[in-house]
Amino acid sequence: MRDGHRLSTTDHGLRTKNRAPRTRNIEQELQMLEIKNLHANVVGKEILKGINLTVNAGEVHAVMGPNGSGKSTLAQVLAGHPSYEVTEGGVVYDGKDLLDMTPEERAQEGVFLAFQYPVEIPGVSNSYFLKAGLNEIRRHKGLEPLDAMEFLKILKEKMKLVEMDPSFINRPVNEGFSGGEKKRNEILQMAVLEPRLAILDETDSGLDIDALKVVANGVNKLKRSDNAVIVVTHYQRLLNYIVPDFVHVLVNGRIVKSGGKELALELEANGYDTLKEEAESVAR
Amino acid sequence: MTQSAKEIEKYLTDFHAFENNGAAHAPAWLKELRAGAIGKFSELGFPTTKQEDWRFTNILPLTKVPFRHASKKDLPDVRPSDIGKFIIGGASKSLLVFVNGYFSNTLSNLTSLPKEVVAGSLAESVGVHGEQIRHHLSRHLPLQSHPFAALNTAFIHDGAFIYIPKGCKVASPIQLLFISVATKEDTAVSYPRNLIIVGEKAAATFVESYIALSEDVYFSNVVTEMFVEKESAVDFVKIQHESEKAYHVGTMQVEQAGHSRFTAFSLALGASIARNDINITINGEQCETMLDGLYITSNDQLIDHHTFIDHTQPNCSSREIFKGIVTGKSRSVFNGKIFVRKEAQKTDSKQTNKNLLLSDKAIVDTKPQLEIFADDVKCTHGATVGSLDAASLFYVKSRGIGEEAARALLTVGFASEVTNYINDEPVRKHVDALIIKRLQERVVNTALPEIVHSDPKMI
Repeated sequence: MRDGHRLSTTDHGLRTKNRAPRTRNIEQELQMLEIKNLHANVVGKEILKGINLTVNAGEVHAVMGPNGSGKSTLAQVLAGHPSYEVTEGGVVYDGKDLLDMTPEERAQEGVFLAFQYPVEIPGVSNSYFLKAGLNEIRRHKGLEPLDAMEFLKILKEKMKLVEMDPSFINRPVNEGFSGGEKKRNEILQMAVLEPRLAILDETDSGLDIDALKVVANGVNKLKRSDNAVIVVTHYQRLLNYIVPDFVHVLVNGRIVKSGGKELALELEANGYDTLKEEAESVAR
Repeated sequence: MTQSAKEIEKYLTDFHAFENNGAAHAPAWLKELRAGAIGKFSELGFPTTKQEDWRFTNILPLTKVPFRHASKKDLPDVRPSDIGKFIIGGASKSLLVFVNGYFSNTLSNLTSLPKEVVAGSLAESVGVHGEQIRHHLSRHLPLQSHPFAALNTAFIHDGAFIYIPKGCKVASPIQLLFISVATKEDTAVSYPRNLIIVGEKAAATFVESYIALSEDVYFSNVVTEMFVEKESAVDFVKIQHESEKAYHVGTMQVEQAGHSRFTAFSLALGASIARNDINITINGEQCETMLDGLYITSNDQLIDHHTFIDHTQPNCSSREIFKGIVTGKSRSVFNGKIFVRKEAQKTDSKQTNKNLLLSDKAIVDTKPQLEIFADDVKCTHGATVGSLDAASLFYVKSRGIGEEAARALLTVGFASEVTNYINDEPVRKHVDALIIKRLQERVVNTALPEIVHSDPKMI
């Protein structure tokens, strides 16, 4: 092996693990998402109380927290769920104002939310649904739409990634799917739509270990240096398989602590209580 | 409360002409039945909106048209190629075709039916099967409260007579195709009368379609009586796709004997004013009754469904799901009556009516009507009127699909949920295609997929 090759491998390792300082230019290129002081309500009740988070291309961020902390709210606000109202702060995605975009515009710009509770769409096949979405995204990028044959080829390839039986192609979207099948279908959609920023909202909830491994495997295979993933999860278990570069703990609508993947292991050992108490005392 | 005597008079005059001509050769019992019925109609007159059962449906426009009984002479020529697209699968060998209410030998084809099955023209069957017909015809039809059914009974002449003998299972759906074609008179009324008897342990699927070859004014006043004997299984689908200038009033009376299964599906797309009365009397224990339907109204249409499920015996279950897509300045009415008699303990009954109201000027009237006299039962009912679910819209849009296309896909989803209950696959595909076509023509502006279903739901 030549020296130059070895050096570059080491360099990459340094960059992601130890957060070595970068030059301003690379920072600007890599920065995908910047959440600044985000406050959001649902039915008049404030859930997000000032979130600050930066995600760069190539990174995996885990957002953990106790029930009711606002993890799912954060995920859904980023995707543009109509029930949530942003009252303060902003989100910059790829240099653009994300909150100014409709949900379909965000998707077309490469944002993808894997739902915690995927919706059933009777009557409409998985295949038709995904082709429609992909072609809208392609149209937005100035690409030609794919015809049925071309799309089917791509879909079959992607189905292998999440170990999904081809019979699912013609089934109505999520209808009669088990919990595990619905979650796998979310990752299949992610594989087909190839987002730049994927947000996984409690993708592990309700899954047994085998289903979890399939889902995590799928997500890992989709990782590239030019995309990023935010994994929202309550339990540390998923993070054994989708290894995060950064872990943030959300308590009562605020990020109270950030760290590396060891922070997740710490939480698993000690629970959220200490952090909750700390957060409460700060609030007082 | 009678309507203007003048309107009734037209029908009475028509009846006298009918009595003296085509009806003259009928057996005495049939003449008596007709006479009694015209008397009943004369007494009741046309319903008005002052009556509870017609509160939301004003049929005054119908009464104003000078309809004359469709003539059997000079029936317009209808070619097989004119009707191919209305037949399930394009062609059928278990098909009865009627033109303006009269059986057409040349267009019908009954060659695939098992030889023990009796199927043909009611008019032609009265001779050979008189006793059986007399025993069943109008036995349970509540003429005293259904003036249109009384009017149809007065003019009983032709329609389908079908008898599936004990133990016989018919594989292909038996199709009854009622075609209306304009004649020189232009405003004709037809009175198809169907009598279907499914014997003990027998099984069959029936499809009754009402279609027009052109957009004319006419009136179809139809009655179907069905007897579902012990341990038999019947699937019934009605497709109402009349001209949108026409009027359709249909009454269905079903008598269900013990341990039987009856599934009915109604697709209502056509007519200017359409009224469907579906009455099911459950006469035995351990019955399953499913009554589902979809109506799609646009422009100025009014489509009214009045259903009545009468639980008279214990240990039976019924499920009713009707959905509506109401647009433009159209109007839909749904009234779901369920009686659970005192003896009908352990009845399990569910009723749902869901409406998608898609325009400011459209109107939906929905009324569940439950009367429960037993004390050990499970009865639920629900009705909704609204727009598409916001969470579902968000899911679709989050995949990159725009507002209009997202609404279109979810509207397909809304409609297809009910066709899931049609057991026969070719029939279901036929109905699905009609729905997609109608949605494409009147409700949505984007391309639509072919409807797909999961494995058919088991009861």
